[in-house]
Amino acid sequence: MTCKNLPNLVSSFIDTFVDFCVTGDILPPPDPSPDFQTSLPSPHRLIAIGDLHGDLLKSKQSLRLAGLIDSDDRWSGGDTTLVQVGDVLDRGGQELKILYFLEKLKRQALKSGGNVITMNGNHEIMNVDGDFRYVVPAGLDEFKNWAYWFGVGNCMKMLCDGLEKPRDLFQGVPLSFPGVKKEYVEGFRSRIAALRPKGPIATRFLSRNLTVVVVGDSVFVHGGILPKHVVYGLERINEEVREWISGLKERVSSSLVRGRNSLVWLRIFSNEVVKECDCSTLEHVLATIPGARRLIMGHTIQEGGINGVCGNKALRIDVGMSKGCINGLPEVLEISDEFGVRVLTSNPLSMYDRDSSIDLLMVPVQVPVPVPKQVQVEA
Amino acid sequence: MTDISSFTTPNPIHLQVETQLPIKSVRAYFDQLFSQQCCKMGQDQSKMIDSPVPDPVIEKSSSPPSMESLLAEATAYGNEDENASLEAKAQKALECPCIQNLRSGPCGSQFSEAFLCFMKSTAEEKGSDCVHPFVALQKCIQTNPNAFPSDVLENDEAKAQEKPLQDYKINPPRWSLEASNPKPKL
Repeated sequence: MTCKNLPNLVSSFIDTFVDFCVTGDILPPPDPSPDFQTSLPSPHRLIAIGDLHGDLLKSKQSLRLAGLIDSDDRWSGGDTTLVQVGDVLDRGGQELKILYFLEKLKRQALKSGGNVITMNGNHEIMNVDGDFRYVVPAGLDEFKNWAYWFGVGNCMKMLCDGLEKPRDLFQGVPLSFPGVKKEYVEGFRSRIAALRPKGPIATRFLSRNLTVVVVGDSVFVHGGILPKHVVYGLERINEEVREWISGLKERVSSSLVRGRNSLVWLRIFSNEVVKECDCSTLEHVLATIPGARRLIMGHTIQEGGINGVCGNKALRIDVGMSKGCINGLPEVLEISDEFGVRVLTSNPLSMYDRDSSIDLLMVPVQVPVPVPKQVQVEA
Repeated sequence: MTDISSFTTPNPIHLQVETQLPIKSVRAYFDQLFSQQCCKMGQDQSKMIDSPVPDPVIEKSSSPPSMESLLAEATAYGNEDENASLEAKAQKALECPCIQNLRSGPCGSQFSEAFLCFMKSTAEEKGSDCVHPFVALQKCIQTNPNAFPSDVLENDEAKAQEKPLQDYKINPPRWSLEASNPKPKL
């Protein structure tokens, strides 16, 4: 007598249980065949949201402001497309919670004809590279906790005959780091294990990010884009970054994701001083991407809120909302058939003194009073 | 002040997703699961559980019952059968040898409860109706860190200690460094 098919069920049970221990939530299994389209048709309504940096509360406030989640934090955006332009990691301690949350939303959105597109920011790339300069202590704790439960899950899988022996999570991870205090070592080890190329979190979440995406007539990128990147090929860029993060390829070209002229680090279109925005380069870039009319980017905090320059061809949406940044008021960009391009802001007075040359329509939206963090687990 | 609801795209009708799987698919799911004569489930027993619900026999002597009551009876019977078979199959699955290790030790019973619930779960997000047994298992593991020991992992750990891979460089934040340490190279 064999129970030939049971190990698969045990495996998905263990995965669900580990996710539950990490997030306090039951999540659907990861989509086995995700969609990596670089170019998508224009949706009826599109919402773009800037850098989140480990602040789950602000992330949810922004989504609620856009009408994309209900009071139970479930997708309520119907067939809306959401684009998050990267930088979920660093500066805050709820990085994993945001990654899991966005994934869950994506599954719910797809069921109602919507979509959630997540992207790589420079902080995603830095963490895959082991550059942890902007990690906060709570960010180590969250990954340490994840690694603990992931390890428990691996032990459980080992006890089930018929399941493939899982790879040791910490294989090849150093046991100490020169100069680093002992109490933080496990946290860094966990982050490496999770986020290095082929690491479980890198593979499950970051490898599903896009680095550049065209939705309708809008081009999205975390930092900026140069003509040479367009020549290189947008699809090729997404593919090469994805293959590096998922461990299929040893390295990725630094001209794509490292250094000041890479897609995730450029600031030439997001400098707050309008004069310094390189509008002619932008025109050139947009002219070489079929159907592109505007570039939407994050990366550089706009202290005055979401704004547009170069005749609104460059829209800058990083409002530094995370507590780890400037604790900016949540704002999102909306592009819809009904209302065109406009900013939904949580500031009812729209007191930001925006540059008079900017003609983006500001729409104050009453943000529901933040609900205290709900107890997710009923004991 | 604009009401937030005016920005919310109304949910299309097809949003309403069935939370209960149709009976047939649950049946198919378990049939697939135990297609290899799993877990001591005999051929006859399996056949009995999987055979279609028999038509209710109408007694000639009594007045014929209404169509409605017949249907209700049949449906009720079908559900009962389905629940029973789901329960029975999940219980049988617990006897599979492959999970006996997991069912032993200090958290064995918590594992069994949680896994049983998961197997029986027909929720859209499978297992979302199993929060209580999941919490119980989680708490048990927290109290008994060696609930699911793995010698193999420990061996690997030992190997890693022998030959640590030190060529993996990180760039740590300043706050994580020993006070006496000079500034990190950024």
